[in-house]
Amino acid sequence: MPKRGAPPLDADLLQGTLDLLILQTLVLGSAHGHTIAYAIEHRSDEVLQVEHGSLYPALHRLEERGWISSSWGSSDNNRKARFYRLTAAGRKQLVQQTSRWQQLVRAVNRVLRPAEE
Amino acid sequence: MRWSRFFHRWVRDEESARELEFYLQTETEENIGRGMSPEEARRAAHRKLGSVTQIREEIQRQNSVGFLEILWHDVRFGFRMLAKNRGFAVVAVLTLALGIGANTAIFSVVKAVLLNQLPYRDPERLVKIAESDPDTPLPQTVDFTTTSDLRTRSHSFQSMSLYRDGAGAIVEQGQPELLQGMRVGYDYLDTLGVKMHLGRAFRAEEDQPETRYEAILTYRLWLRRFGGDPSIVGRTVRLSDRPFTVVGVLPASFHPILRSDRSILPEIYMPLGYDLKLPFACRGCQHLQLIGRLKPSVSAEQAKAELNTILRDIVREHPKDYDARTVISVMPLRDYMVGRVSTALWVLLGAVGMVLLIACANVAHLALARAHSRSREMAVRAALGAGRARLVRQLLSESVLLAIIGGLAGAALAWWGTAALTGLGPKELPRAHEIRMDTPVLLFALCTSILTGLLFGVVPALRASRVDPNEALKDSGRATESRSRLAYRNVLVTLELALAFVLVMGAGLLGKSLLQLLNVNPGYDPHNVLTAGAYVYGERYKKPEAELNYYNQVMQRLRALPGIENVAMVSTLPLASSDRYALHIQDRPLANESEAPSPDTYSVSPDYFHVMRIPLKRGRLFTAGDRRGAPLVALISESCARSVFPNEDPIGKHIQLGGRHDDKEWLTIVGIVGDVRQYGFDRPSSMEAYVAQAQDLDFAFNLVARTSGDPRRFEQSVRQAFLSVDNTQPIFQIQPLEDYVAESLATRRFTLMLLGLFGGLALVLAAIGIYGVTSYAVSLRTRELGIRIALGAARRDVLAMVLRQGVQLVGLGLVVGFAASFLLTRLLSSLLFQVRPVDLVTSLAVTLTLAAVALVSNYLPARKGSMVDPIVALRCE
Repeated sequence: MPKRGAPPLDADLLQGTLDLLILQTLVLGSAHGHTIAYAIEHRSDEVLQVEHGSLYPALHRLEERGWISSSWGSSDNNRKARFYRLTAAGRKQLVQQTSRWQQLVRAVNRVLRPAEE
Repeated sequence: MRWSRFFHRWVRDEESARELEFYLQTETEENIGRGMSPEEARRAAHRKLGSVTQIREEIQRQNSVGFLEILWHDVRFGFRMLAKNRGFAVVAVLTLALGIGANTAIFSVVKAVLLNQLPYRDPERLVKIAESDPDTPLPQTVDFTTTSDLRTRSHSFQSMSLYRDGAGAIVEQGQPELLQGMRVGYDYLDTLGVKMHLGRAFRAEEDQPETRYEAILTYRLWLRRFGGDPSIVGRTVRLSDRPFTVVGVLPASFHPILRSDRSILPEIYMPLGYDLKLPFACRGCQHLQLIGRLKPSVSAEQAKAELNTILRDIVREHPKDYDARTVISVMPLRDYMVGRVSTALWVLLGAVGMVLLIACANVAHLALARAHSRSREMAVRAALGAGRARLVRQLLSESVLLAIIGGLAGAALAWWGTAALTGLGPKELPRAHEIRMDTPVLLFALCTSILTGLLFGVVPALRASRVDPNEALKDSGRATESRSRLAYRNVLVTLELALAFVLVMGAGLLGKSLLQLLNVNPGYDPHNVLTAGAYVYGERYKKPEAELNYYNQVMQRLRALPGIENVAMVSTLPLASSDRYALHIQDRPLANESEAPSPDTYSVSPDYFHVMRIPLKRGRLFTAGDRRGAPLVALISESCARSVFPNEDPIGKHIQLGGRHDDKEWLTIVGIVGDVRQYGFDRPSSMEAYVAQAQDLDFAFNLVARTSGDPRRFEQSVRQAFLSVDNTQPIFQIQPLEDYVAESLATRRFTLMLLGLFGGLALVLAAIGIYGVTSYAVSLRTRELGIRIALGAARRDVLAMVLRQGVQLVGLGLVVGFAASFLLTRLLSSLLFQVRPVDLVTSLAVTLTLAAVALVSNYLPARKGSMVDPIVALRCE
């Protein structure tokens, strides 16, 4: 269950990050929710434990913003599944958010490095 | 796009459910692949995903119009809960309906009378200007010459306009009728900002003594007497035998400026027609009324300061014409029109607000008890993940819903109440015709309802939402309540009692005042006296003998009627208006004539004192011998004798009333009569002087007839007596003298009646509150009481134990109430008569009444508690 009552700043940060991860996952091609969840876990060497439940509202939100689109199709196990695909707007968003993320990482690192020396 | 999502969200929810189900199936299969049993695999999948419901709700919330939807949900839920709990709902709604209804009704009156703008252009710039000195009971008049000085020297006003009462007898088309009207300056209607319905306003050249024979009709008179004739403008109408040309008709929406204590509507307007040469235009001839329209940038205070500066110059220039203490008062026109009733209305609004507070306290009791019995429900909700804020919001929605239903019922009640108030209100309740339930009043009811709902709901909601699911669910709903909850209830009861105390105290003080007033001896006997206004006009009454003859013939006819004991005539009826004349003494000339005493002056026929039963104290009354040509005589009242002739015998003194004219004949004082309260039972007598009607006809006269039995039965006979002598002369306002008395007390009666009603209501509500709390406290202690009785406690001791607690509470409530009433009743002081705001007898009576009521409502449940059967008590729960 998602933790209730976490401070809003953290929640926002996490939410933005999750959005970025989802978009990045979909660069490789369309996928359904289950795949996305596991893809994020695997690619981060299990460090990022995505709450699978929180994935779905995030997908819903991204679709509302027009960054991804969805359609019903057949999965590998031959079930009806909902597939998500990156839209053009989503692709642009991904580039922007990635560079912003990298700026952020660099900035944080610059702050942290002197302390390490 | 949120709205479109809002409407498509049911479809989307279905899709989300399918999508999540797909996740679960995939995950389960993979888990089985990892070697789990099917059930375990499914459970693990659920764990991994989290609560499906919560995810769906989360997605739903993204689609919803948040606040509104939750509100709608809460309202629907609230309805269901109230429907389940009808008893609670009905009692709460009724209590609130009473409180909100009473508030709305009183507010509708306050709004119409005190808050609404006057129906004139830029009414906030209109002021009433009056000359006054400390002796004038109701400053309202000015004189013509001073006014024209003020007008030329002042720069504060856009315009200033004079007016006075005026009347004209009309005979054509029907019975002779006295049309009440006003004589007004030519710019009067323009000063008010009135647009004519037909024709035009007066012109400056029509406002002259010789040319003042134009008339403007009110819409009502135009319809009533002239059938709404569209070609009325230019027509000639004979008023008191003089031709007047109609120049215009006022719009139906026009409201005249009325004194707060007058209820006669003027129907016809004529030019004032004064100039400085007229004898009654003199400085000191104060009988005109003045309104002014301030310039936009000038305040009433500034204007007042300016006028008083100017007045001091004028007084310096004409020292003999003014009392040195003369000042000018400038008050907003609205204050003038509303007059004394405003205090009463604010008091009533305050009182009715207190009733609502008590109603709130009672509903809060109920809501607390109900919240307590719902603690399991709250616990379940909390356990299922509802946050505290969500619970509070739901509970508050319920109480506001309850209050709004109460408010609706209250508005219906107020609808009826407003009509009743308008009917019951004193006739001279100013602007009563404006009282109605309109949008602002309904808005007031709505806001009051919402506030009420929050007020009584907030504490119960906060308490109910503070649940520990663990504890509440374990505890199988046994009725236990912490001390702090009882403490809150005790505070509520104390508050209720205190408020009820204040209200009953207020009603008690007003009641005592009214009783004192009814016991006041006004100096005359108003019972079984019929009065009628007479009016003579025309060529044939130019000679005083003719006028006197007319009166005497009428009186003669009436004396012959069985049932009429005696009749007389008087220039001014008690309580109706007043007529003051400066009194000059022959052997005591004054340096400054305007410092002469000014008694109320009456011209009366000889029998007046018998009809009115005003006692003769010394000397003699007027007789038939005091006729025209005989030596002029006068009577004065005791208080006049005391203050004007403190150390000498007034009988035989020579006086003049009006100006001092040494060339004219002096009047000899022949007797001293009892004092009369001219201005109201609650105002002390001022000085009175009487002249003989036969010797001074310079007045308008009223008939007074003492009847055996109900004077109303003689209305027709009186009218006939006048018409049979001369059917062209109008008579008007035929009514018992007691009507004037009743009218003069009407505002007090009205206030007392409502305050009494509110006090009674408060008392009943408070009694219910005490009963409720004690019952509740006893029910919580049933087990304990049962054990005590089982162990051998005497029932009497148990009763005493329960009562003791209640008595302490009642005592506290009364003490707080007494302290509060000590502070609040001084607001009433202007409404009291011969009663001080802190009155020992009333306090004692109120305390005893409240204590008795409170103790009974305490005793009943306490007794029930002491009668408890130990076996039943121990088995219960």
